[in-house]
Amino acid sequence: MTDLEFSKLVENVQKPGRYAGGELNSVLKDKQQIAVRFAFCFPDIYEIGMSHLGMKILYSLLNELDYCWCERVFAPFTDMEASLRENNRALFAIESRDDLSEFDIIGFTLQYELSYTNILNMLALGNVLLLSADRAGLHQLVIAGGPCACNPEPLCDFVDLFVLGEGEEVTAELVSLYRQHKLNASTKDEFLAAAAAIEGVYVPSLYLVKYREDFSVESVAPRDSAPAKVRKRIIKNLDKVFYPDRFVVPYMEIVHDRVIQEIFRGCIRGCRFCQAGMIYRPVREKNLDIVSQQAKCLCDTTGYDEVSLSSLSTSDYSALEPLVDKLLSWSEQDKVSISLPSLRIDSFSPQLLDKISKVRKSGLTFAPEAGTQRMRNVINKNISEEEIINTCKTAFAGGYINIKLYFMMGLPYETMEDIEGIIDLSQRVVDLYYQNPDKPKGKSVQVSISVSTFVPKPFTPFQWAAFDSAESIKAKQQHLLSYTKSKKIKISFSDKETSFLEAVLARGDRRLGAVLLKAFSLGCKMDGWDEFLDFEKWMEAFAACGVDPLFYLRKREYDERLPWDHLDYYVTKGFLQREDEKAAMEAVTENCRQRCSGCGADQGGGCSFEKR
Amino acid sequence: MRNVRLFYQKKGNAKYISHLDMNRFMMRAVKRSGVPVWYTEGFNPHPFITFTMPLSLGFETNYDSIEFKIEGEMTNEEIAERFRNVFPATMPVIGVKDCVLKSKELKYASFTITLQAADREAINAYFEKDEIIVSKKTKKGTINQIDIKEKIHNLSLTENGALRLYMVLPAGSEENLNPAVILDAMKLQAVQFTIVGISRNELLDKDFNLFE
Ligand code: SF4
Repeated sequence: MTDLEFSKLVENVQKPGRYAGGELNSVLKDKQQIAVRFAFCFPDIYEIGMSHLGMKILYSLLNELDYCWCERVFAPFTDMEASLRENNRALFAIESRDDLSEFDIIGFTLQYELSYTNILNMLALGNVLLLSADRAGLHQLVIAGGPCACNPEPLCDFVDLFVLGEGEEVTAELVSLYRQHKLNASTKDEFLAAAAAIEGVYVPSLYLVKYREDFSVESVAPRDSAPAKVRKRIIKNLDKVFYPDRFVVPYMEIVHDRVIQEIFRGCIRGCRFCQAGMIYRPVREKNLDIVSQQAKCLCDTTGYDEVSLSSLSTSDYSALEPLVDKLLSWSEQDKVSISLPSLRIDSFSPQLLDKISKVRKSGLTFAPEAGTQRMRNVINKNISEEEIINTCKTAFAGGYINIKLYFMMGLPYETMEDIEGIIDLSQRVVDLYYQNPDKPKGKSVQVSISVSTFVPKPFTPFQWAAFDSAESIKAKQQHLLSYTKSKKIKISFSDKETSFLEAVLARGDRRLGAVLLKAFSLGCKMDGWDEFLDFEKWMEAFAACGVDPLFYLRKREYDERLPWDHLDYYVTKGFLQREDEKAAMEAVTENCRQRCSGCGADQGGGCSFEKR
Repeated sequence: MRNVRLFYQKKGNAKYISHLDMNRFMMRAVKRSGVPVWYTEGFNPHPFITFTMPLSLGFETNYDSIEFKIEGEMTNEEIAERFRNVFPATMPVIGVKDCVLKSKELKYASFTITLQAADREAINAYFEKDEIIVSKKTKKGTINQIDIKEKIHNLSLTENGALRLYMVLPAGSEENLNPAVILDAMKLQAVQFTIVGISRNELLDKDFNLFE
């Protein structure tokens, strides 16, 4: 595409910076010298995709290989999609502006179930055939990885292979294998058979799924030499794993416009609803000197003046205070600020808190997740009411007047009392504010509570649970509203249609492939955006394919074969079941640092806490 | 401390960087360059820089500048070199000079607008009329119809594959006329053309000398 063609394409597009490229540290190569061209596709818009750490890591890692050129492709926003169609242009990669169809490997990251139709849309806009079976050659190999790959079954019709677990090593192995096979002019089948031998690679076409009459899965049979169970990949040593020394720095503002520095993977907490807390196990920490070095290097190469520490729960890093001191030893001089997301303020000394300028005074968010202690025990969210209250006390004393609390409803074993507990707790926070003698004059407190609908996810102790029915959720929401007395409490609910679809797709099977295709052909895309989600079209798609979405929302028995049972994320089914049984008894499980509960994740090695 | 101006161009892809984004880009570029630019003090210190004249999204330029204060010793050549090292190829650095004029002494900017048009005469005719009325937003947000005929200087139309419209327009803190306003008005008069590119060539003082 010439510059003139490009400028015509974006003439009436609102944010041409989303497609223009040329950012600092973006990588250009001579395509004549390249054996493997890799399109890293993020099925959402630029601002969201560019904020994603996994993409930054793999982009740098792949571009370190001299025979591979990794480029970026994002979902075009609606105005750009219209312009592409109008100008009869295919979706293209940012760096070379070559059409998506010219790429050897087209890799998607699966962050969110509701991005699935965007994947189909991007392939279609890129003139790539949607169905894996229709793409005969080795060219245009469509692969996918990321958290949703732990149950990729709804995407099996479209994706040639999935990468399970952490991508650094396996992606490099895969690309190297691809290069060999391309050189030898292998067939796609030959390549896929060889790829299936790599640990962490799942080739869905090598597995035959049989269903029972009630549509539950009867069996999943591997073909040829494909392994009966595909294990996710784990990086054993985070100190040695590749980490980028530079990030692409967008000109336009993105969601996380700063250095993101990973400090550990996994989570010690074991909340029973949390998929991330289970599938990223075991807990592995990065040495603080390495963290500091990497963060400093990234600041130097990007010019960013903010570092955000990244993990599932920052306060759980074993050496957080020493780490912050270490960072401050250079960051103050370099005029770089450090921000600590997902921080439990009560676990942190006020002196250190003072030093961290980016803990802003405007608002504070906190996630008790459930309103009563009973329910918090059920979900194993080990925070007591006292801790919540103390945190808010500290916050009010520090001048905060807006508190945001996150809750869920529709959790297993939930009663109306637990719903009322959400408001009781919020009310206690409001009252606490008025008891504070130093409260700022003339200002009033606002407690915003965001109540989302719980979606059961694979590889969690609640993977067998029912997704709460629409009627029940409605009743709970109404009760919650009528139970609220204070005007200082502001309530927002998650979109019920979004949660519904997320719940269907999260625990779906291969029969949903046809539904996805139908929904896409009816025009569904950008489903994660409330303003674009067209729920009626989705229902039309389910009906047209003769698939009942409610089937996927039901409670499953422990002995039912789950659609993802042939995938192995190390965390054992026995452990998950034990945890679910404990949930029913309202019994808590200690965190990994207190006591290892034998989840199985240490089998892959690297766990920082399991008893040796 | 001394006041300097860094002059640079903005070409090709760089035209898609909006003014707001340029500002953030400059903050990071200063940081990477290691040039001792004076920082603001306070809670969230950042390099204190001002753009001489903001450039519209989609425009290229041969001559853009930012102003800042330099703390400590560093020659203008070295400052220029350091920025050269951190700017993208689409933003070549021209040089660094001590500020000669104050920013309010900027009065004009020259533009080259490249067009594709079947009917060159229609464009000629448009500019030969006695008055050229355009809609202009005032600072208060109301829209005024004004005659800008007198405000266009050194107008010329040349042809070299595409049509090139050259003009000098008021620019600066007192009065400012964006060529896009004129192009919009032309379209309203049913003059047919497509814009290939708009480039701001130079910034000029009251005597039409280069602003330095
Ligand atoms: S092996 Fe033990 S310590 Fe490690 S993640 Fe699992 S439960 Fe936690």
